[in-house]
Amino acid sequence: MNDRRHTTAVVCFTFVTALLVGQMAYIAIVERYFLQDQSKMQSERLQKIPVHRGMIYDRLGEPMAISTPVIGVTVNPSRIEWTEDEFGAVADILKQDANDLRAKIEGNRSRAFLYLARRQSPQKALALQQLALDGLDIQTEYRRYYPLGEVAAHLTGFTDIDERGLEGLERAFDAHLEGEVGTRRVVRDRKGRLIRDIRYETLPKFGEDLVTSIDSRLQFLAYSELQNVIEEYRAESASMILIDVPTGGVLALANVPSFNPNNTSNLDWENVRNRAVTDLIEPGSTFKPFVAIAALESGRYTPETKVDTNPGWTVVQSKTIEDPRNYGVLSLRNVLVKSSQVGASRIALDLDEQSLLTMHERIGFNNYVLLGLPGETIGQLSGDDISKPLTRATMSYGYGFSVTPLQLARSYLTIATGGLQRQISILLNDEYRERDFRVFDKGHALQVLDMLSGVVGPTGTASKSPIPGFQVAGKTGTVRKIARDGYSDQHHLTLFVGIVPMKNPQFLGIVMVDGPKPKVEGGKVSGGSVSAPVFKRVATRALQLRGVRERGTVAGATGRDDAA
Amino acid sequence: MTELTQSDVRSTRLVTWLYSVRVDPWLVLGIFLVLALGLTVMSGTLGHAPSMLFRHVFLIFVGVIALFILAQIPEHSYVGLTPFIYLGSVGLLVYVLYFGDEAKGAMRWIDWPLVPRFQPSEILKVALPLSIAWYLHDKPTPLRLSDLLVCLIIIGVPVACVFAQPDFGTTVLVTTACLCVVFLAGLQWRWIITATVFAVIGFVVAWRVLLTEYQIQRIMTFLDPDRNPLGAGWNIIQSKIALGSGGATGKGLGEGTQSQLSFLPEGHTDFMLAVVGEELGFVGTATLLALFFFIFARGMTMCRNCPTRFGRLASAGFLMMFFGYMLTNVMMVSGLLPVVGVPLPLVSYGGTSIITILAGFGVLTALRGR
Repeated sequence: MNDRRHTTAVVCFTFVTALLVGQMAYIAIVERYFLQDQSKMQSERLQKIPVHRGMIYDRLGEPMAISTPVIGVTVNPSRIEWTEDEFGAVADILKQDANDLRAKIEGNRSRAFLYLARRQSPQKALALQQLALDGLDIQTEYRRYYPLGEVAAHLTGFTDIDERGLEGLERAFDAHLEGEVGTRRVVRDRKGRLIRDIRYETLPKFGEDLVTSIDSRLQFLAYSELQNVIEEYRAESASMILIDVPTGGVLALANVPSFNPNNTSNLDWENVRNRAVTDLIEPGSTFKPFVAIAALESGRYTPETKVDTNPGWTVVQSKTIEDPRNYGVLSLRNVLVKSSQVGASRIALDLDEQSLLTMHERIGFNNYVLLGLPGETIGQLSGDDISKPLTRATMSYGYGFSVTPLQLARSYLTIATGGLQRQISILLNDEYRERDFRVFDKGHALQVLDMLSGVVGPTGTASKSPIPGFQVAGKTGTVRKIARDGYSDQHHLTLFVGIVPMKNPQFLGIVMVDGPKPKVEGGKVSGGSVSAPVFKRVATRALQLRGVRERGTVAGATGRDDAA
Repeated sequence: MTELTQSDVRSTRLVTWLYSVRVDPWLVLGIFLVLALGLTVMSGTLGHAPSMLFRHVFLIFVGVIALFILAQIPEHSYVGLTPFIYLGSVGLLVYVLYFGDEAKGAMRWIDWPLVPRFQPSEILKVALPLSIAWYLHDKPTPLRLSDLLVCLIIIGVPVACVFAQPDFGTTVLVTTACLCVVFLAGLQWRWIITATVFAVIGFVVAWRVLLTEYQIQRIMTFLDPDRNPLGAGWNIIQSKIALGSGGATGKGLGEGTQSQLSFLPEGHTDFMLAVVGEELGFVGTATLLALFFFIFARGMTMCRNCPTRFGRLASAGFLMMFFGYMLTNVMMVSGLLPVVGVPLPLVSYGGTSIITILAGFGVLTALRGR
């Protein structure tokens, strides 16, 4: 071995070592900032802090919508290298097919994020975490649950899987109910396991609760009464709105058929429609009280003013308008009590040309109620020339224009309040409620209210639905629906609007039943026989619950007092 | 002059024996410092697995014992022992090809009862330099072609077994180190140039014919780590991030996020240097490289002072092996070479490697003579 070569070797290795120290220095000093960022990028993550939506309560504090924690199982398909057994274990926990699971992941190899399952029970989280699989992650999510189910489905509505409101209050008050997801910076290891927190980046903001004016006991009763009436009369659908007269708050709003908001995977959208606020109906005879107000306002009528309905029919512009039988000479009061078409037409023709049209506008048939529920619509006028007598005559008994049940309820609220237009609200203690404003003279309103109490009296069209111990003001309506060739004799819509107690009104309810069939062949259906009993039963319970004992006296003030 | 008591005689014998113990203080100091630095960093990385750490400490202990025992064997005994060592190594390598344990797609391990699992290829780090030196120590310089060919056969047989495992890293390193011995023994430059030409041709052939898909994959990944950041390039990227994010002075012991959060694979074995860089910074890696160089330089000095040509060639061969491994590992970790699975001597976790390296330094000490 020669020394020159020994030296050569040492020199070579010294040189290489020096180069390597240089390389180390280059990485650690020059590339440091870039590589430090890289290090942070892969170990630090912004983690979402899930928040739940606010709850929806009824006026008694009973929950109508609750968020319950569930888990979502996500994977990063590009990083998954699981064994056969591991696929099997995950599939087992998620109750999926192992081959489907594998196919799903293989099919999304290029993606970094994929949901395997959502809305799983939190118990599964533990089982999945124990597998300690690379690329599998578990997120806390919330799932909406509606304790009242289909009873209040049109009120609560529902959310999508990401808790965004799609229908009902969930949609109307989405911004109020929804929270803001917070974020925190955390250190995670390669398997994605949380090692430690660094700091909060944004604080989570939980959704705010919503307290509605609904009384779930009355809501439940209204819903089941509607179900009963549909079964009894083989009707197509039915809706009811019950309003707290002193505040304008909605106590119950139900539609049948309904749907289950807890399972929205197979919805029949026809049933999701909130008929009480979206469907347009012709009000029929339920418009007559406003004809009476117009008559009183003309100064030429009092409740006792005689109207001649002989001979039980009249011809206007070659069209015959007839009553079921000849009522003879009726007082204005009895025109309402008997619901005479001829009487109403004659009064209308006797009044100012514009007066019914003005009335239509004053009671808000041109305006939205703005309850806030999605899908609310307003009715329309037919556009027929009002100077024509026939237009005015048909309008007097509620044809030729349309309204929603909700609009109709509002118009009656002006009578119940003694002539005040009152905002109807779905919220308890609604801060943004508009103030009342006067539409009618108080005297006129009270006179009409008094006249309407005869409807539920022994000679009225709703004589079978009195509430024992209370004077009820109400008006029936039996509307022939428009078929392909004019108005149908078969297909009716029965209406009843009731106000109770007549003196110092507390509750106002409207019941609409669409397509009831007579119980016996050749029988008749009417607002008095079909719709009024529903109001009677719900209002009776409402009076009990509030402890309204006799005419005009109220035991409790809040509505929280339960008679039971 | 007083009578020597029994105990005096005993103590005198002890002193005489102690004086006769062959040990090189500088070499031992360098080795111990590297071991200490490695253990310090590893205790943070393997903090979750104290049993592994304990095993590592135990193997270091065994290695140090081997170092001191092998250093006491007279140098001339090695000349006689070498043929048996060579044949034994080849035997084990053939054995492992047929009966070895498979790990990570390669047959490298022997798992016998009562003996810790070991890799026979590691023994070559000591055995092959001895064998080349044994054959060349009485041959004239400059080397004859026939001697060169015999050397190539001596190298070729065991290395072919290693390549078949397959263990590409060991194959290249052992061959290179042994060729260095031949160079030091006085190979003529014309043969060196001829060999270089053949090496280039050999490289092309190897690339096209001999290398397996996985080996080519590793090399291609090295050439472009970003090509598949989650696959084979991952190691290199993570290693560079670890070295760089440590900066000049590091994140502190046990604070390295790359290794502690398992972004850096093999943090306690092949990529130990990256952990040193992340936790102790450039200061740590430079210190480690300086210590390695100190051991190498001290070893080369001892090598030059060897009384026999056999000793000089064998110890130079072992030092080439040791330093070659170190340089390759550093280049791999810093992204200058593909990931070939070469441990950092004295530092990486891995039983056979640490014992053979320490044993090799024992042989080196013995060959230096008195």
